[in-house]
Amino acid sequence: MTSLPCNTVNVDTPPVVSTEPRNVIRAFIVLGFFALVSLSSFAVDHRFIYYSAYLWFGFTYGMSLQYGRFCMASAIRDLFAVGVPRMAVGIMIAVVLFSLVSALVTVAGKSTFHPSPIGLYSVIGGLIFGIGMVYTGGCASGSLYKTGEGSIAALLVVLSLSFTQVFLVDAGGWLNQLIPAAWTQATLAQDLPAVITPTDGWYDQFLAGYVWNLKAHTVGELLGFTNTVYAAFIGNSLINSIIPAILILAGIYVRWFRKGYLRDNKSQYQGFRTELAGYWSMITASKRTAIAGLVLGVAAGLHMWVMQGLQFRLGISNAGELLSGMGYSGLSIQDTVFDPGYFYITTQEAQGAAWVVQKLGFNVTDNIFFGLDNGVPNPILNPVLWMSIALVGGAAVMALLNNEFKLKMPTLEIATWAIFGGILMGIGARIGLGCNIGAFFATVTNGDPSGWLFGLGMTVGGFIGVKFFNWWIERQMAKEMSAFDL
Amino acid sequence: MWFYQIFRPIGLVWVGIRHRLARANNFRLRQVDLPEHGTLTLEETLDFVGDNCLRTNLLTKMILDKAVAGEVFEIISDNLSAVETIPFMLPNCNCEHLATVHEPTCRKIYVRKRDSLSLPTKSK
Repeated sequence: MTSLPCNTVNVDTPPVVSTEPRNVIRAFIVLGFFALVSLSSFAVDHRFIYYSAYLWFGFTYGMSLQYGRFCMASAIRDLFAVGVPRMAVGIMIAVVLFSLVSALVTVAGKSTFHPSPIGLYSVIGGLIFGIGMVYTGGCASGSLYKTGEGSIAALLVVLSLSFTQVFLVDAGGWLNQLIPAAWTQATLAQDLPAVITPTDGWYDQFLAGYVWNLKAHTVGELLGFTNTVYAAFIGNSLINSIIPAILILAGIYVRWFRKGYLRDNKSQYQGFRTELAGYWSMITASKRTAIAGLVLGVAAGLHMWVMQGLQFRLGISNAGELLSGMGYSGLSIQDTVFDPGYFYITTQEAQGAAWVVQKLGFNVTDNIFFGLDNGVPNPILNPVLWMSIALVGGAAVMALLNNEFKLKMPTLEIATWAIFGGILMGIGARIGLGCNIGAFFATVTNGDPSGWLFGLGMTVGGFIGVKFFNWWIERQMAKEMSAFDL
Repeated sequence: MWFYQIFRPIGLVWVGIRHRLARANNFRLRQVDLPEHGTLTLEETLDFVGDNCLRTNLLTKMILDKAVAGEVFEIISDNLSAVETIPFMLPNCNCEHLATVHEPTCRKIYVRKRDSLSLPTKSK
């Protein structure tokens, strides 16, 4: 008989287990590494403080994501697969809080956000991304924080989606044949530099011939608010973020939570009051996720404020000016690098992969994505990549402090799903102009309705992915069970 | 054929065989002593160490849905996301969460299938 008197916990309660001393030391080593990078880079040139800002916000994101197990793949998957709304609720909390802080930042004139064009591409990109993230078991940000927990499968996802983006944005040949002639004509009309070879490469024509001709507006702009306060708080935050989030939560409550709540509280039913209590019970069901959502929402809003403040302080509008000022290369032909000024995931990872591919002798800058817009800087000098790496570090620190760090090698099957799903995520991220963070989280919270289109596609994709996976497992189970009976 | 070989979920074979063996052979049943619940006989252990969260959650749900009232299961996983999700999905499977035990390399979750008419036990 096994006796288990100690370290036994109830639902959602962290274990009362002290951190192992060696894990505390490891956590401090990771923390010390990032502190050393921050201080030594500042000693080399004070302008590296811009990089350090990205680094420490990335570190904060990593800690929050790991603490709350914050993952959009989990949010969608758990709803459709097992009817658990915990993560979806946490994400909606983060959306509401991020939108309020973003509105404040916008009113203060410190926002670095630019809305994306509104079009069907967001739905299609989200759909492909959604299918992929269910197969991998983690979204773009989720895979990063799981890498910090020691998951090699998650690292494979990150690598897969990064390299897929590089090959996708540079692919031409027979893929050019799939592009409508109108897009090619529209691309030619953009009068782009010849070095970009804009009509050779499907992604160049997708961007210049289709996406660039779509309108981009925030809800505040669409509603015609001239007052910045009304545009930010009513248009962008209330109408585009808070009301949809409340409605989505209500839908989740009715579909997945209400039945169980009323069954457990049927003796105390008092109509609407009980329903409201149930709604609140759903929101507070997982304190870890709710706290993580709260920290993420506030940190993501402050991130914009800090980056804009630093841009003002350093007299720049893009980190490319810093790089060229310090004598570094890797810029786009516009002397820019990718520098959104807020939480973002996939583009900087694609830049890192592009740098590797370039070092292998391939030209990856004859396209709009790298050549004209984002550049291919050395990963050590890529400010936004500092954020991604620090995110992994922050997650590692949090995992170590909770004795949750474990180096996990995937089986061949899990690795195959990770790579395959990562490829889909890479394709979806490029078509949708971002991932679950850049094309959804950061956009819906800044009043950009295109984020909801990506979210819609991601949800439908997640649903399809879950149904396929469910079918796959049931099929295999049935096969193995019948074989055993024989 | 190679495609099938790669995707063949070896873990499922194990789960399927273990499920049948546990039912057929009473000597395989183990007992566990849980605080507040006393000594319980495990119907079977579901070992998902190394699996991703979706597969862990789906297989757990499939097995718990088919379980008989009163049966106790031990679910072992090192996927933190799945470990946190499983207790929340138990009411939908008409199961109650007895405890989660933190081992150095994994978590063990103990659940019991409820009688369809009974209300969940209030945690103390």
